[in-house]
Formats: sequence, C-alpha cells, structure tokens
Amino acid sequence: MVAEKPSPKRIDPAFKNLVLKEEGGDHLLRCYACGTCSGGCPVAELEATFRPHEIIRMSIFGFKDELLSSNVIWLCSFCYNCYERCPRDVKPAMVIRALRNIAARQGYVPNGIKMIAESVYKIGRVTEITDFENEARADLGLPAVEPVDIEKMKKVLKKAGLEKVLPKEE
Amino acid sequence: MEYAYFLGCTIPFRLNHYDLSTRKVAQALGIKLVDIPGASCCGLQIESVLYNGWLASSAYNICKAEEMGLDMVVLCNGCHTSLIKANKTLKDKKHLRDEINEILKTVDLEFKGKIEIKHFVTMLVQDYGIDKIKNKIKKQFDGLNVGAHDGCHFLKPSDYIRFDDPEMPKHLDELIELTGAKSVKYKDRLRCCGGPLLSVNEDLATKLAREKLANFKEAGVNCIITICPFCNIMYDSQQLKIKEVHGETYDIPSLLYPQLLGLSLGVDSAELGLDQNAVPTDSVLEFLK
Repeated sequence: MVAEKPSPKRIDPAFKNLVLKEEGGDHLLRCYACGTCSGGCPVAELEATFRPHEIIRMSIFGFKDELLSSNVIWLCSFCYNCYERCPRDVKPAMVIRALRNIAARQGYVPNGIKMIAESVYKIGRVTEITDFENEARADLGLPAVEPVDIEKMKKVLKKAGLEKVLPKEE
Repeated sequence: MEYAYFLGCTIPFRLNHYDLSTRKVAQALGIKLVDIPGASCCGLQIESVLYNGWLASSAYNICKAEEMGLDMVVLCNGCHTSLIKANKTLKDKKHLRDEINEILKTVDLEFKGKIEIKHFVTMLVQDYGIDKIKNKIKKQFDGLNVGAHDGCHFLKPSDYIRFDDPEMPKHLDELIELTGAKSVKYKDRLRCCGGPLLSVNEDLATKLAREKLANFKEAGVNCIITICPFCNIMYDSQQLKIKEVHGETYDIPSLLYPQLLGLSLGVDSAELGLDQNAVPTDSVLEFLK
C-alpha cells in the first residue's frame, strides 16, 4: 500500500468535536502547531506523507474525509515520542488512535489490521496455538499453551462492539 | 517470589526461546512464574479499531491474574504497554471501569484493581534487585560489546509505566553489565524497531529496522539485546530477510536478555534456546569466560 498525501477538498468544522469526544482526542485544541511531534517522529523521517502536526491541524480544520479514508493515519508506529515530548500535552499518538477508531466505525481499516482484529475475535489471539505449536513447545520442555475460552472472549468483544467494526460474520 | 506469567500471542507462536530462557533464569534466581490459564490477546492489536475492545481484552486477562492473587509479569513490550495502560486507566477512571465491568459481567468477571503489572526486566530491577542477581553470577563475558535496544513500549508512555527515563534509559544497561558485557553507545538507540508497522506497511517497517541495523554495525556491537518479541523479530529473522532482499549483510546475533543473563548464571546454552535464534549465536559464546 503506497501512502498518498491527502489533498484537502472539503471541510467539516464540526469534525473536531467528534475527535474531542473520543478517548485520547480530548486535548486536540491545545495544539499550537510547533511541530515537535513531527520533528521527533521516526516514521516522519522516512515517510514524507506522514506528519503528525499536519494530522492534528487537519483534524482541527475538519478535513474529515481526507483523514478518514487515507492510509496516512495508519502509518504511526505508536512509539510515543510525540506523546512524551509535546509541550502542550496534545498526545498526538492518541489523537491518531482516536482518528483510527472513528475511521474503523466508517469501514476504513487496512487489511493487515482487519485480519488481526478478525483473529482476535475468532480465536481470542492474534496467532492460533495448535497442537503443532504445543508439540514444538513440549520438545523444548515448555508447558502447552491452554486454549482461550473462545465463547467467553467472544461475548466480551461482542458486547464491546467489535462486530460493528468488522465485516459481517458468515 | 511468585508472579502470574503472561506470554501473549507472539512468543509461544514464534519465539519459544524467549519463554524458555526466561523460565530458566527465573528458576536459577528462585522466582516462581505461574502460567495464566486461558489467557487471551492483551488487546493491543485492536486498540486502533476499538478502544473499548482493547480495554476489555486487557481487563479480561488482568481479572484472571487478580483471581490468582498474583502480580503479573510480561515479556512482550506490546503486552506491557497495553496491560499497564489498561490497568491504570481502569484504576483511575471510574466511568471507564464501570463501562468495562458492565461488559465483563457477561462472563462473570469483575476488574477490581488489585494487582500490579511489570515487565520481567522491571521485576528483576524493582523486586528482585540488581545486587541479589550479582551474587548469583557464575560466569562473566569478557570483551562482549552489546547494543541494547529497550523498545518503545518498555519505556513509554512514561506517565503510565513510571519506571525508566524514556529519553535516557539506564536499567537495561545495568542488567547487561552484570554479565560482564559492555552496553555500548550507538546512534538512535531510542528509535523504533519498525515492528508495529509490519502488518500495515512492511516496506516502511523494514526501512526502520535497516537503519537500526546499520547503526548497530557502525558501533561495532558483537550482539544486540532486546526484551520484546517484535523488536527481536525485526533484528533477528528480519535481518536474514533484509540480507536476502536488499543484499545487506550485518551478521549480528540478536539475543533476548534472559538468554544473556542465563549464560552468566551458568545455565547451559542448550537450555536457553540459543539454537532457535535466526542469526547464529555461537560467536557470543566465545566471549563467555
């Protein structure tokens, strides 16, 4: 997937309120655009389309569609440098998480992340530990990994609303 | 000393040597690790799509450790940041605790906020103590230069983790130097390994790992030490892939910290899974006196 720089076309000034309501998005309006987040960002250094301060600014201005449909918001590695260093405690990484949560509710999730979320929903883990893995563990003298109580885990995730951000179950 | 032991998803799937060496080190130090029955994903991987789903998944596992009446120890930096953040969030914010407990009620669980969660490394420093480990050292490395990579999610977000200095960490160095090895300075130690991006943009993830590997090489380290399965994958098995795809040869072994400490505690190398690392580790053993 090649990142494309969002080209602002239409703005929705009310969009910021959506971000502010989301967990971690509540400090959005504190940003005075100093750029400390982008300056210390390891991804920004290698990827020209990714600038956390631009994402923050676009959220405030309300470039809703450009942000939510773009894969740029999925390029953050959550290293938390911006979170630690922001002089205004905007917590840019958490704003990006808020944007991802909003995007997910509108059906925008990159395939890699969608697949992982589906596994967590179906088997309670990212990777399934089968007899094959447990035999390899036994060879090393390690105890078998007990299976997740999938029915229970599914109940928890269903109640939390995971189905709504995943494609319909067959 | 006894802890609920949380393995996470990745370690039993592809890094059994991290688990094995940790158990051997714990045994040598007299620390009891009790597996958490039926533990699930910590939730980190769904935090980006559903905040409450992450929080509920973490809480599900924390509740299991609470039922065991034990503080929890984790090996994966991802699980570390995820579970610690969830634990503190649920302890501090009543409205979220109520919301998550409402979800957990469907499976007869309740988050009570009774336990602490620590990385194995944090536990060694905070609970066990550097001096006590020092007394158990049987063999020392001589002339082994190590590149220590703490990993982002071991240090940050520091307002939740509250252990090491996120800009100038020192605890992993202290632990490495107990073994006689030298933790050397190298460029951009705090830089992300790229691991969290592997599932979204492998190219970008690999770029980050290649930069780090070049920095390790420039500093002339004999081996890399990590304390997270993802960081280890980026520097170990991905190192071989980078060699294949980009033709860059680094030949730097990448060990998990308990493998290094285990050797110094006199545990047999065969029992530390050193043959399971992707890049051969024999060169490291030559420094052990």
